Amino acid sequence: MLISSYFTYPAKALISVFLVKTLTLACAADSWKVETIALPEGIPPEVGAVQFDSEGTLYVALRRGDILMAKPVADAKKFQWKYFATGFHNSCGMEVIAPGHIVISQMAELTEVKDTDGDGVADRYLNLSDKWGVSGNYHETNEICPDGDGGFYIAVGTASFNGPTFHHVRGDYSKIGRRGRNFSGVQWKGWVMHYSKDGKTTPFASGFRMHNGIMRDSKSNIWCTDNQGDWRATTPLYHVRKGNFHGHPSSLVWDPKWPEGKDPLKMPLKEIDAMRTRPALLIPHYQMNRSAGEPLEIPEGFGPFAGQMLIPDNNSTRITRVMLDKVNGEYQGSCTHFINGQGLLSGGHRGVFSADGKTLYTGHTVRGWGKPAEGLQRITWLGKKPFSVKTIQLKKDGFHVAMTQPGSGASQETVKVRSFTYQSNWKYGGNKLDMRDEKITVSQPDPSSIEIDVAKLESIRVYEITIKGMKSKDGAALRNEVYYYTLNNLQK
Amino acid sequence: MSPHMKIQSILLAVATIFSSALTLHAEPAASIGPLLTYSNRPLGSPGQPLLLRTFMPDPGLSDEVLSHHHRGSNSSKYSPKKGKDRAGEYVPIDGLPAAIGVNYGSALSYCWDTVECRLLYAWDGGFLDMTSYWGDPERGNRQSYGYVPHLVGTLFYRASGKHPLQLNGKSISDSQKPLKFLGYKKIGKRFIFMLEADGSKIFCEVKAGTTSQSLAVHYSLEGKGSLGYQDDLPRRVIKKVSDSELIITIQGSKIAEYKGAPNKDLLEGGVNAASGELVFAAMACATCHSLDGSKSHGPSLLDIHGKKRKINGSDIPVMVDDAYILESISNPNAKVANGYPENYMPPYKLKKDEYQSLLLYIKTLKK
Repeated sequence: MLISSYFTYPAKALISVFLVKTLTLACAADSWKVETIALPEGIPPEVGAVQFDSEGTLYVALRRGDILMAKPVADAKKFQWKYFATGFHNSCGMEVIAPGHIVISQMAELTEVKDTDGDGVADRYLNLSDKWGVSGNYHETNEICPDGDGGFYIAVGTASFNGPTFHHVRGDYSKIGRRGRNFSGVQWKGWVMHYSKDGKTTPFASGFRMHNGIMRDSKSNIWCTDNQGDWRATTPLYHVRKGNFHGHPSSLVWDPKWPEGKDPLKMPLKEIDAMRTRPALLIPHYQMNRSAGEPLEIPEGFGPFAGQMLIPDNNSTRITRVMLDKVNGEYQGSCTHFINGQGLLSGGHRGVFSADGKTLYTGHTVRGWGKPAEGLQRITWLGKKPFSVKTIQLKKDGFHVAMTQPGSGASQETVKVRSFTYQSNWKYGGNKLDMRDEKITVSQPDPSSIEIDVAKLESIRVYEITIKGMKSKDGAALRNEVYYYTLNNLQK
Repeated sequence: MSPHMKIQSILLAVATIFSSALTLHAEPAASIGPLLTYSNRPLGSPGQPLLLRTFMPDPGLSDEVLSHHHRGSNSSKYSPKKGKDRAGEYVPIDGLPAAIGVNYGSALSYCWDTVECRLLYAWDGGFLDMTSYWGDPERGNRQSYGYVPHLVGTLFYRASGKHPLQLNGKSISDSQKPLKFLGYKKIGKRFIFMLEADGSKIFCEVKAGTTSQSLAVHYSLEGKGSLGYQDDLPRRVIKKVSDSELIITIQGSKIAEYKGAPNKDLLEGGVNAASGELVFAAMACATCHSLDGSKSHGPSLLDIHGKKRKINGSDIPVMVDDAYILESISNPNAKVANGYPENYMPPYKLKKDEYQSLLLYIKTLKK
């Protein structure tokens, strides 16, 4: 049997996927274009990480262990792939130091990989850090981002009760930490660790479930996404600061100050609530993002949203756009779809922008569930400015909505605001609670913005803003109708 | 040799011929070198060895050999719906969390561990069967609960006792500071592992010996100190090249035979709900579908049969009957339960009686 014929779909599924793709591509390829990039035939395209080097070579880490590289070309089917390195266990974090010199985070290690003799293939693999435990559970995935000073932050994911642990584990084992749905049976699961350039690995922040996405932005902020699940009523985005606890209790057993024998899962909800740092954004799971991948900062060159953030959805064919708003010195903000469908694969996991900022390369994979949620794609800015909400800023008494271009039609009749809360607890996910319609006053003092005054604005709520029927000057409909603003802090 | 392995060998032979031309596109991956493919029996060759980091099987290693590992334990089963323990316990499984597998084709495979910093075992006649971990690409699943890969071939060396390497007269297992795995270098077809014991850097290389089922293990020390070797194997020769260099030849013999992942017939018990439960476990359905009504990536399967449910893209609820469930397994994106993602669940390609058994099992899941 040929390897290429190994993976055959039921014909019906193939046809329906084809039709969906053709239709969505045809009607949405206006401002950005989505293309699927061919990897060598017969290779499982489980893309764990994607990065560029300074010469514009794209490195693609595949989760079975291989790293391929290619210079992007215009034809997405004609990349000339070369083999660079192999031998990584579930490589889901990668940073390029220089051409032929990368750092990989894999199940058991942060590994420096280098082609020392210049033949194009790696020949030296150094263990930079293995200061976290390995329980044998499949779910313990790691990702990294640079610390800006030659070191890295490492997001060390928890284990899942859908898989076992081993008799012999690496590192200290905690029977208390092993309890629960997503658990921390060995050291530093659910933490962000800091590996500094002098080789030391130290704990940085706790309370994560599966922060399958860590990013350092151009202002040196560290951001982690996490996955909806236990202790995560919906998909969160955290602004991570040293020493903070981010709400998933299992990791606390490894806090050096944690009382011996105390079970974090038995803490009262009030105690956990008082300890935790709230997410900068609560991203509604069903409407926006079911399971977040790596957050990405949009560069200049990709359209009108430079400086904002994109978050791939690991569980749907979507990418969320995040519009941050700094209120009283703390980040919060709003989100909407950047892409929803348009031929995008599910399994959104990692991404990297080309040096000119015009193209975002996205890696797609979901552990163990396979097609149709895996592969390598790219999204290219085509230059046609969309008619879209550009930013939403909190005012003392409501929201100021700025548009990418002038438009009309926002009124008392076409704008609607509702608000709700979430309560995270041991259950997997959570519903919107205390939903209420808000009394609002809507005006358009100029065609490029909307003022929404809300009669009763409260903190610790998520505001859903729906804008229907707006049209740009040349008749284009507003790109998205629904936006969610996470209000942690009111304007003082 | 199975037909599958034959094709693999031919492709590898082709790969060896063209190994200088590493550029590739739109060609079968196996023809361009050492890339991992959908094949669950990846193989290297004497000229182009394969190093794989994965969970490695534990073929009966003693606690003394694994002395730098920590011990896991049974754990109470847990209900996320209630936030409490429930009846029963999770039992740990065997496996090595951070070891490395190296394969030189049918002549030699070995397992080198980054925690114990030593060679743990060696075998010939095959490498690893990754089916349990990578899944069967034809059937759609990629994992199951017992997902540690399986050995293929004849185990002929298995470590016992403390680390046989001595530094200044003492087993490096008894080093004052913890042993540290530093990494490895690849020089041509050779892998040279690097470790640190009490501040000294030591190199270790494992090669096939000159006779069948034999090994040559080369140790060298950087800097001052003296290396020694002590174990209780009957057929091994220590060649002391210098204070800082040792070559140990080990003549192994058959310890055990391994045939890869057990080819379990899930339908052995007939077409019924019990067989369906085996299919459910083998396909790792529980990773996304709970049995107790609790939420996960996909809808819970508790009490779904015979009820109407809403699906994406339609306001009219549809009846979850036998046909709906069968279609949801073989073509899950045809009708997606309301509130769950499109294009996420892979189509599962099962045998006809496996579909039927799985359906019968799902129908038993009642409140």
